[in-house]
Amino acid sequence: MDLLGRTEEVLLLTIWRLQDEAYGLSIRDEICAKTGSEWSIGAIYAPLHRLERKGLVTTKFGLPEAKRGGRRTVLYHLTQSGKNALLDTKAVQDALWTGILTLKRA
Amino acid sequence: MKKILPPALAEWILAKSLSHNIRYGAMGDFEYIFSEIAESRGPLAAKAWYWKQLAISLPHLVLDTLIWATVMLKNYLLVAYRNLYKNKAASLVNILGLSVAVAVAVTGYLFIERQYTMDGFHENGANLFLVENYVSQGQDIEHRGDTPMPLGPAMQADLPMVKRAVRVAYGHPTIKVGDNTFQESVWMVDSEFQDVFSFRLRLGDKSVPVGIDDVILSDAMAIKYFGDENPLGKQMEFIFSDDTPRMFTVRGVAHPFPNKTSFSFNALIHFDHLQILGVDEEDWAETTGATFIEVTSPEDIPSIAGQMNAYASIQNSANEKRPVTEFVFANIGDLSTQSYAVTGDISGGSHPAGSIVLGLVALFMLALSCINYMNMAIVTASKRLKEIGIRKAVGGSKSQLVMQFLAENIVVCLVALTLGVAIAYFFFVPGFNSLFEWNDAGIKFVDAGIGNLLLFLTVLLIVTGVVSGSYPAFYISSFQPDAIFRNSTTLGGESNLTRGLLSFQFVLAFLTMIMGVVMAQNSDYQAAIDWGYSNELMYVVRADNQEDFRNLKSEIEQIAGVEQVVGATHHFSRSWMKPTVDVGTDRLAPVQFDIGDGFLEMYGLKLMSGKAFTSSSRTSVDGGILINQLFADTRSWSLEEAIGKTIRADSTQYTVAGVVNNFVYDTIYDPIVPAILLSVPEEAHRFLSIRIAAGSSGQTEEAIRAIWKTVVPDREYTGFFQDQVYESIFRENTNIKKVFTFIAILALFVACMGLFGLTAQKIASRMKEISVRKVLGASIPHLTKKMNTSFLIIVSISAVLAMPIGYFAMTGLLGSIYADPMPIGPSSFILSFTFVLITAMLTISTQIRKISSANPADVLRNQ
Repeated sequence: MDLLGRTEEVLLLTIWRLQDEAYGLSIRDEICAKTGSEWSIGAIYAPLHRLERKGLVTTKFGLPEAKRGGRRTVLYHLTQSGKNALLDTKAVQDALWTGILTLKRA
Repeated sequence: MKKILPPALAEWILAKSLSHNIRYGAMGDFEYIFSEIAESRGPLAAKAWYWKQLAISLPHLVLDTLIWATVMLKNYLLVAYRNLYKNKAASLVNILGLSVAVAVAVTGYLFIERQYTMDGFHENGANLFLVENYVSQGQDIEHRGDTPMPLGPAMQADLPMVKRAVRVAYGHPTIKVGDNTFQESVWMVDSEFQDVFSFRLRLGDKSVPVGIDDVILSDAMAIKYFGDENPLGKQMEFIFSDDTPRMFTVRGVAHPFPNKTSFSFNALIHFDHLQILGVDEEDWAETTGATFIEVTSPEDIPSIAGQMNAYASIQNSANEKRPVTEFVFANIGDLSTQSYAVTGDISGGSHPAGSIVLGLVALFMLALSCINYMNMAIVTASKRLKEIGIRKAVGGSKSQLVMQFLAENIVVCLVALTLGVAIAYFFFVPGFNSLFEWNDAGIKFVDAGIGNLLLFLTVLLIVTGVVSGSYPAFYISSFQPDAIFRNSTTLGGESNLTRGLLSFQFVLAFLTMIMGVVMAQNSDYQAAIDWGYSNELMYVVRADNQEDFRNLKSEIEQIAGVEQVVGATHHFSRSWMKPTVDVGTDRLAPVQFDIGDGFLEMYGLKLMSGKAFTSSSRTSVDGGILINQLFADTRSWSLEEAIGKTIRADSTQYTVAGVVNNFVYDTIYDPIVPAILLSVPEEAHRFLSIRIAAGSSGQTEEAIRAIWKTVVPDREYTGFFQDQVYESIFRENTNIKKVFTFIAILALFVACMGLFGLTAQKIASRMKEISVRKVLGASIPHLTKKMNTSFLIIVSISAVLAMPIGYFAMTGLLGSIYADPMPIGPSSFILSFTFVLITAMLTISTQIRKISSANPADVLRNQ
């Protein structure tokens, strides 16, 4: 089983959370909000490209917008193997977290 | 409201750095946020944001693009491999042909590189120059390497730009160590020789100057005389021409010389030995073998050259018979490449014709193979037209297709390059070296500067890759899918382009073949040249002085197998003089041979007019001399007119007593020149010419050698058979013949591979037509003719084109190397054309089987 990288996991989860509204900008906004740090557009798209190559996400065109220079939005969706990969990664994490001493912030 | 657009440059950079797959979405996002900011905070802030965002995104995007480009390259290479594997025959033709060409090119490169980087190991090489001079010799001006004896020290003293001057003079002592006695050539050098040149010492200290009784040996000499022993401090006995033994102490032994050295010594001794031997070092009439100068900067050379006239006039007043017209300077890096043109030069370089020919051959072979590649690529592409059409129809861009074809090409070229270097390393280079007697000094991979070699290979890869790859790649990928599917793109086995390329290829093949045949014929021609005298069963021994000569002669005459012994001061191909003589008001520089009684008869020189020498009519008695026919011809004297003409040399006046036929005085590379023969008494004789009775040469030679041992026990034996003087030339000729035969076969092989590929493709693509014709009753010969006539026409046209080019090129080449070049007749061309035509026919005929075995039912049913 190939474990997802942290960035990949974050991206996949965000896409899943946003469901039909997952495109570059919304994904970036969501991630910035949740992680509290600024992600560049490049830092979003490069891993998205990798996920697409791996077959974990697919793309679909949305509606064109004037603000995008007349371009359509590119919507991202999880494929079945994308969902499986997320579940696998979660299973490993859960297994690792169960039954250990509680971590505390100093 | 006017829409504000993102900064164009930033947008362009962004588009270029984004991968194809994410470009659309990412650029949309960039522009969306840009518009938002422009609305809320104004265009300036928006632009600033765009640039900043680009800057922080760029590393991610560029990395992403690079990663996927590598993945794509892997895919291109994989598809390339599959395609090459699928077209095994075509790939094999390409790879084999190219690798042979690469091997030839690499061998040629090593050879040429060696020539042009000779003597590069001298650390101060850029500042080291050999002083050469032009000397007027009668009507000719000779470029000579020997220079006036006092010139070097004078230049060092007078000219501040000349840091040091080092002279080399040659001595030929007999050297004795224990029982080892050999005649050697040693260098007498000025004391700074070792500082100026970078010949390293294996034993001894280089910084200690060579004393008057010291000798520095080469590695080979140390082994020759002392074997495994340490030679340092050992004594060696030198006997020079004054017959006085002198003891020398070995002070150093040089490292084995670098492979790329065009001049090197056997032994170094102090220059002052010249003085001891009675040569006046201050005398401008004397010359020394070589004068090297070290200057502070090469830019000083023109100003030094400007001040040389003073020395020329000193020398010319001291030695009127050797008037120097000009002094010139040759950097030691250039010595070997120009030494063929310099008489008495210290450097042993070869004629550049070899480099030119090898370079041309390598270029030809590369061109042949590249054309093969282009032809085969275009022809095999016809099978892939549908693939190209579909790829384009489903959105493949032209650049992707070009990449695909280039990748295939790079695979082929890389494989060929590797294979070619291996072929060169294991076969061509050792084979090439074994042809020449270089022992271990031939061309070697390790000698070539690794940087230059890699650079050469890279250039080779790019040139072959680009030359042979781009055209097919761009041409094929530019087809329009609709035209392909409408079947209106025709790309058969024959287009005007492939026809043109094939003709060009065969012109090259013919040229190489003509070159091979002519060179082979010429080497036979040169071997059969009449030397002007007979050399069979002639044995020659050289004595060092009058007494040895007399003793040897009287003893050798007693041997049973000896028919006759005559003496002479000079000898063909070994020794002669080159005086300047005056005829009327003209000055000439003939060669002069001093001979004894019976010499003419013994060597079969024919007297064409006048009378020969007798014991009572010697030159020393009546001033009568013989001239050769060329001498008479250059004066436009008829054979009869020549008799009685007067020739003056210095104060002596000669009368022409007779004319003999022309003879080769040195080697076939030297033209026959006007010659004079003088009859001299026995006191001056040194060479014993011995005619041996047929059938007893072996034991007679043994007997002569035994006599030598008793008469001159402490001298190296000097005997040789006169016909073996040519041995090395004959061997060289045979080798030239081998090299060129081999090259011609290679070129023909590569061209025929191309022909084979084309005919095979043509027949494969016209199988349907062949089958229909067979069904309708066409015979195999008729079909063969139908399919191949056009190729034979191409081959014939190439032959016609190659003929005049070959004729002029080879006439020029032979004329530049040989003194007596073979006239190129029709036989060379008939032979070459027959070879090529037969091979071409054989190549084509391999396709007959395909035609005859094709079953029309199978072919037609499947299509």
